[in-house]
Amino acid sequence: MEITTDIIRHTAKLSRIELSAEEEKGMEKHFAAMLEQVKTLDTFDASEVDATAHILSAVNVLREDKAGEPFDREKLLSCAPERDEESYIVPRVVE
Amino acid sequence: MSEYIATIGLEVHCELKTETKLFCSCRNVFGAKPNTNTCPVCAGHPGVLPVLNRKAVEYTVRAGCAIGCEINRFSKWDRKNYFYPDLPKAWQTSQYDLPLCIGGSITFDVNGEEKTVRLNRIHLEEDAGKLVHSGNCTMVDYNRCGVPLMECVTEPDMHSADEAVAFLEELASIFRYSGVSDCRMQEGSIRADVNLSLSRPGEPLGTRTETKNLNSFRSVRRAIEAEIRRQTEVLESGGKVVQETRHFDDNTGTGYGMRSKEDAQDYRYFPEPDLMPVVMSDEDIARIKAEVPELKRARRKRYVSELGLSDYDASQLTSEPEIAELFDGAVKAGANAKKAANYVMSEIMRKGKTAGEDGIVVGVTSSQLAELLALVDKGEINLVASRDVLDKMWLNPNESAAKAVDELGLRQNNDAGEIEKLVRDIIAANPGPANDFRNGNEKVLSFFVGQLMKATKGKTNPKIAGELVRKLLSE
Repeated sequence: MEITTDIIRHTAKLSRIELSAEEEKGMEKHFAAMLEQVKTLDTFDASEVDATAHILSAVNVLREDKAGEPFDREKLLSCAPERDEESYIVPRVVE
Repeated sequence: MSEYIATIGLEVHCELKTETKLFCSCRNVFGAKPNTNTCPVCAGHPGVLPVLNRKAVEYTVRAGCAIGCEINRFSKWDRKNYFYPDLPKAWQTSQYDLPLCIGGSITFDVNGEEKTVRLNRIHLEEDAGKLVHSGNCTMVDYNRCGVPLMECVTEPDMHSADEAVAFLEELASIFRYSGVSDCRMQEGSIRADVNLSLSRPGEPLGTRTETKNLNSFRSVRRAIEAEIRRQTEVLESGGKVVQETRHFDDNTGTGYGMRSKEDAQDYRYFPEPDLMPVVMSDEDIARIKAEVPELKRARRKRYVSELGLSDYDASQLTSEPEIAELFDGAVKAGANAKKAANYVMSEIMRKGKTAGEDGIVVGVTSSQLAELLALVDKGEINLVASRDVLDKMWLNPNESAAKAVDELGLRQNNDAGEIEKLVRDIIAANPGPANDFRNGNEKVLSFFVGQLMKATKGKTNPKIAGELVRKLLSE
């Protein structure tokens, strides 16, 4: 797979990362090297291995529908860079 | 009229009425103070682990069974990534390629004709938080974040706003009857996205747009009608419909595009490493399937075919599952179907109406109702008095109708001998009107019945009273 500037820009945009033109160039090399590394997996013969959705074999890890003790709102809100008495505050966003 | 045919598919989001959220033990309630039902898990703090709510899985499977979906024996969880402040983790835990339910279909009536819409899938995911915009900033409330949400995706089988709204009504009734969701529009617990395209008959489907987050059946109808008009105008003026996500403004009744195609979402789904897959056995599915009650459409048909009710009455009685349950229970307990139907429609539904809200309060049990109707039937109380009994039993399931009648002193006097003596006294005290009756004035009969009712404080069976007065006046 050829790594183009478009792919770098798209990935950076999805990740909300701003890159300078120079950084974009540098990233192309890094991306190519990473993909090359991952390609190693292609040498593994997986034809006898079942498809898997999770690396662990456990299934149905469930809890009962019972309410727990309420968590202290203040403790959570105090982690936010901006807040008021009861809400988190973020810059105005409108889709 | 336009020669274009609209093709419509819906994505319906519906909150489950579990006690707690999908992945943590915070309460799932509407209307609490901001951020009071949150914890490090649903507020997206690093290092926390989600644990799946068993009931949310069972409710989704129950909904799937009610719709005839195939239940996946193996389903798993995926992360849908996007940045928006209503989602503190920056991904929504959802199901991508292996949802809980696949396929299924719903049959309903629209403008007198039967219509079937196929479902593509139902998957379970977490709801997002609520944003309140104010000035230059936005307040974020994560109470709704992590509330279990079913997403039902239909095939593009609908062609008009009427069909889409009728489908939504049927779907909501199935979920309410199944007991998995209240589907309360006012609380946003059911919301729909509309995918719509136009095409000429015989031609491939046109480019579709998606109108997001419609939170009432009325806005679904208006948004569809507006979008059909807009796309028709675009096509007829030689333009092209652009594939886009649109928003519908309920105040102005118009839609507008939200993101252009180049900004199309790239969610980068990948398997959720923090949650184990769900495996369902045949026994699990059979057990959950057995929990699906008789649904609205089947009940309505049965009320007509087996109980001899009119279609109108049947539709009234099945409008709310609580009402249908009450009626069915009363009939099973021996009440006459037609009398019970009339009583439920007039007295119970009037009394149970909740101001400005969805749903209805049913304050009596079916056995209380059956007992009350039996007392009316036997003539021990009359209909007017039954309202007082109903008041006394309302929201008090331990009160029996007979006990309430005695406590209120409402038992009708059916002792003919005692009543006869009273009637004779009344006739003797009113010789004028008595003579009028004997001279052929039928109207004064009601005067005597009224006097008797007054003397017995309304506790005389009116039928017996009328007959007795007539007999004694004619002596």
